[in-house]
Amino acid sequence: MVPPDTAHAGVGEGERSDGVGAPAIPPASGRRWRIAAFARDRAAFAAALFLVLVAGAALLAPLLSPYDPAAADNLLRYAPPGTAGHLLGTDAQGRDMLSRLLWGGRVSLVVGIVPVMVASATGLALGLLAGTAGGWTDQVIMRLLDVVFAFPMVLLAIAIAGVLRPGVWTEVISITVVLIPYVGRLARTATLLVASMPFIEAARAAGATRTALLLRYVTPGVLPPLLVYATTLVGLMIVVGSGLSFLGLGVQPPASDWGAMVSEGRIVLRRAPHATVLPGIVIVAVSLAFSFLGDGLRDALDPRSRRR
Amino acid sequence: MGHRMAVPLLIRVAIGAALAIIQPTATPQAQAAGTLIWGMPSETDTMDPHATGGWTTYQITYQIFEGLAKEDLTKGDVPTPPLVPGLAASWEISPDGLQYTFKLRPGVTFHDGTPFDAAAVKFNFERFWDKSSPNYYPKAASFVVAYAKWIKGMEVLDPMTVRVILTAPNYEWLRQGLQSYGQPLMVSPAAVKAYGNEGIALHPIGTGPFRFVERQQGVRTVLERNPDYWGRKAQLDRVIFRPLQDPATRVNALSNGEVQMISTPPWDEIQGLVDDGFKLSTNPNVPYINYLYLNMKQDVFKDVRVRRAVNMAIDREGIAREIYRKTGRPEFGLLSPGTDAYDPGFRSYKYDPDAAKKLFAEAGYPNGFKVVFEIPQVGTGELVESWIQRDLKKVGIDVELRKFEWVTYMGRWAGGMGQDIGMNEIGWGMSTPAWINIVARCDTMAPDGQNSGYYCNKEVDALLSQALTTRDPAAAKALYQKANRIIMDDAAYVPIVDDLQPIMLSPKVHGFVNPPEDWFDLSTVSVD
Amino acid sequence: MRGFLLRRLAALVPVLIGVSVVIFLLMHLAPGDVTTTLLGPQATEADRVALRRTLGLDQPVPAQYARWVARIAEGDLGTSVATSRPVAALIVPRFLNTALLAAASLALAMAIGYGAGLLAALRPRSVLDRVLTGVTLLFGSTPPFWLGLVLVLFFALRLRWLPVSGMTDMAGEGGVLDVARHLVLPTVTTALGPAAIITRLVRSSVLEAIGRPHVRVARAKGLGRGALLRRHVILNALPPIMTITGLQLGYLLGGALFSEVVFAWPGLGSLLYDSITARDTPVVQATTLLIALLFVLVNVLVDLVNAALDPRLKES
Repeated sequence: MVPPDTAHAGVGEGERSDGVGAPAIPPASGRRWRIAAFARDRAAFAAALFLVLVAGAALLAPLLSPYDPAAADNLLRYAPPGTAGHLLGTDAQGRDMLSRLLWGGRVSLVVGIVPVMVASATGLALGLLAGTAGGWTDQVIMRLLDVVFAFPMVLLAIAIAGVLRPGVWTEVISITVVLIPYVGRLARTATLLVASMPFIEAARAAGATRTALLLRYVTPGVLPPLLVYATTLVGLMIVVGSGLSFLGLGVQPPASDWGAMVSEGRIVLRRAPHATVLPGIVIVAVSLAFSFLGDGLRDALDPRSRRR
Repeated sequence: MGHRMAVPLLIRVAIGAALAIIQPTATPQAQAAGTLIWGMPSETDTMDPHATGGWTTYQITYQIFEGLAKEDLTKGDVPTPPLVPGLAASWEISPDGLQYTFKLRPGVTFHDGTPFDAAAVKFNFERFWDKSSPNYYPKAASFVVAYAKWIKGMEVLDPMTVRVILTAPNYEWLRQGLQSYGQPLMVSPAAVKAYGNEGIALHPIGTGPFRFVERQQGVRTVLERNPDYWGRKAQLDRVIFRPLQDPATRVNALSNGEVQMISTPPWDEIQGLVDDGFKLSTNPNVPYINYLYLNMKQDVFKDVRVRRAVNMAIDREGIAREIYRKTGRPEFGLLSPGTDAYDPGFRSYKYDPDAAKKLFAEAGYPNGFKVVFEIPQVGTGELVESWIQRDLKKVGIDVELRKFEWVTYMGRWAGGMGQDIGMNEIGWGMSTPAWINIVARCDTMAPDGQNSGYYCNKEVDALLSQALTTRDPAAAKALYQKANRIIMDDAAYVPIVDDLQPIMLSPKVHGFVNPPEDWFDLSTVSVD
Repeated sequence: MRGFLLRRLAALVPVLIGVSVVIFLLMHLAPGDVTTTLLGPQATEADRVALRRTLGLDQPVPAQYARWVARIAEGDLGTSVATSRPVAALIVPRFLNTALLAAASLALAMAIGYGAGLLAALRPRSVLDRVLTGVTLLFGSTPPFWLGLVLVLFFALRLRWLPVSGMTDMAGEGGVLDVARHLVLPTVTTALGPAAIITRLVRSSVLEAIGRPHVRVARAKGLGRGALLRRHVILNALPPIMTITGLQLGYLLGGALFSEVVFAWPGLGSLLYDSITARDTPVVQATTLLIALLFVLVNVLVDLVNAALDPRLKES
């Protein structure tokens, strides 16, 4: 499986251009003001609230689930939503959809969030290093990322699952490795752009050390586009992860995850649409929420792009 | 399910007009006369019958190539396909069972026009068996091994007679050849010389009722009728094999008239397709079984009571009824209904969870135990495996499912279960009861054979050896049935169901026969 | 410019060597090998060992790699272990099919992305902006294997306008129109993800360009809205847009596996997937290298275009 569409939404290296949005003036002051700005962004605030609810529901799945997600009623297969005792109906094996959605969130959120966070942190570090050091360091890092870029995710997952054992961590590791080059490229481009801005010169002239320069001035400027990008990836990785678990490279049955529910249920789309539509809606909603959250965070970090 | 919304007439007219503009030629559903398009779940590897191991390949190569003997796949209601003369018009087996003398069929030509004769047979045997010959092709030898390893010598007696000498008597040898991974079918020697050994993969030239037209890997393989066939000529003008990996795509392509036949339809879509007018073809005499191995090296499974209890705890009838949806049948032993030794009255263990619980308690596990069950990824969403997991949970056994990608799984299965693994599964078999030899003998314990759970009973081995050298089919059958009963008394395996090989056909398809084999004879088929 | 091009192309060599070494190692790290799939369940370990010897898989990994490199150096991509066919003969038609789908999908994604992104940027935070970005994002985050199926149910099975699978009507005459009809649904399914990304990036780049000082100066000078957009905003916003478009093209050329599977579109993605699961190392190697090569080349091309658009972007 190749990386998903948006996995390429980085900005290419080798040219110096704006990243996603504007890496803008990054003064370290005024944090309170930014939080206030974020709270005023209703879409982002609602998205954050929604995600907290979803995560909370997943965490509390043992308490909230009406049924054991593996328990099945063989006589109640594909029961539609609203069936007595099954608010959201049942799946191909007569298992309660609501319970499986709740428990599935635990897997899907981990597979969606952890690789994106780890890959973002690693990619950020590599991109900052490549962008500020330049020369051979830059060349070596970027060519290495080119090599990693070519890894087919399925092969990586098969190899990892062969060494470890298939499980959620196979998915997390494979997805993380595949994502790093994308984030790395984006981070490097943003770094180059920020590093050439006048205020960096000014800070350097004022005697800031290299480390201070990097941490206090460059990094805050690189973060906004990275945030937007990373939050776009979460929903896609939920779908990609399910592809891996479908192949026997990830989460083990009878555990559920949203992507796997969509892909298993779609075979009977005509007969029992809820089996695939409900988890699909959850994935889309979570993906949208992360994107809105990303926009909101970027706006809050970037005073120039706040509402006019 | 299956109700397609009726589009109002007016809109239809508008659509028709729009279509006429988009596509001035025929409507998309129009088929050339007598073309069968078959949507298959996977692509075949090669077309060289000597160098392949896949059932999907046999589904194509059976139409193109023939062996000296062939299985008659035009009968659906027999337990085993009759072994009939193919390119050999007749053969004689010497009283000691060591010499096979084949009288070749006269007047047969390969699709390239070259004659089929003893020289051609000799060339083929050299290709897959004779290391000393310049025609030897090691890859073919690696595949045809199950047939070729019995051969001691091969000689041409006259231009239309050949003799094969075996190393030991084996009355299933001819059939085993057709069940082997590489099949000893007759390939045109001229084609091998013209295209090279590897070239046969794309230039399959045999003697069969269909001949090869073209192949686009991953897209389609096209055959056409061989007008010069020596036997009953095929009815279809063309057959097109299309790989359609996604089950939903297979169903939709059938619904939309883009294919006329699909194999392995999703179970839950079968009824809907039948309601829409499509035909379901199944075969009650399939030659394979879905079954579990129990790891005889694990302490819990060393106790026969535990193994029997597992057999009693699983509701085979329920699985066949609820999951297979009438395309599966509960199975109670290792002799599939596709073998001539099938034991129809035999019910090894009835579903009885209470008795199972008692047996577990007697064996010293009143509170159950934990067991790891390794399974392959096959794309059905683990419906059966989850069911088994739930059934065993009801009698106190905690099953941990571990799913592996297919090739990884095959390696783990063929290599034998590790100490921490309690059960694994597979679905396969052959048209010959001699198959049990491969699965359940002491000397076929993994990794040297397919006895993945290390079952070993010398009495069974003795019966099976005796059956192999027994010429009288009735006596051999009795021996196999006895072995089967002992194996199930030992409860070394947990047979689950026979998959009845559902095939969905367009109502335009006639004459399709679903024989007790995994491949079909398409020469009887016609399409309106 | 020529120096830059040469440097980037020279850097391809170590990248491709690195890719091939890692893929080779991963293929050997993956459990099971091609003999398992080829021989099927009947095979005994002895049979597999014999076939491994026949295929040369019993040799040490470095020796196998060296043999492979030697063949590549002669321009021979080798023979597929699973299908006994020359690797090049397998890859070329798949690549052409992928190129067709990629080109169509990119065109659609650009049309949607540039249009919606620009409109949204011109009225930031308006209802139009919210609707455009919301709708593209909504479709972009729908799982493609599900979206493809819904499109099939509606446009193929219910309306009967379009075919379900493949590139041509297998029993028909074929032709350009036939291929075009088969191309529609896979293109839409494949394009919606990239379209959402391009929309987001176009919107933010244009917004950012509008906010730049020289644009404000030009506006203050009384430059007309159209001229302002053409001369200052779009030109300034183009480099990142080109970059993201190039990245999408690079990705699409690698094959969109989900669409390929759902629509039985025979492209590179499913070839790579099938050969990985069959452990067909020569095909995996060649396909991966081709994808890596295409991606780097597309990026180099984008950099050249960007440098032509804006001389400041030339590498120093």
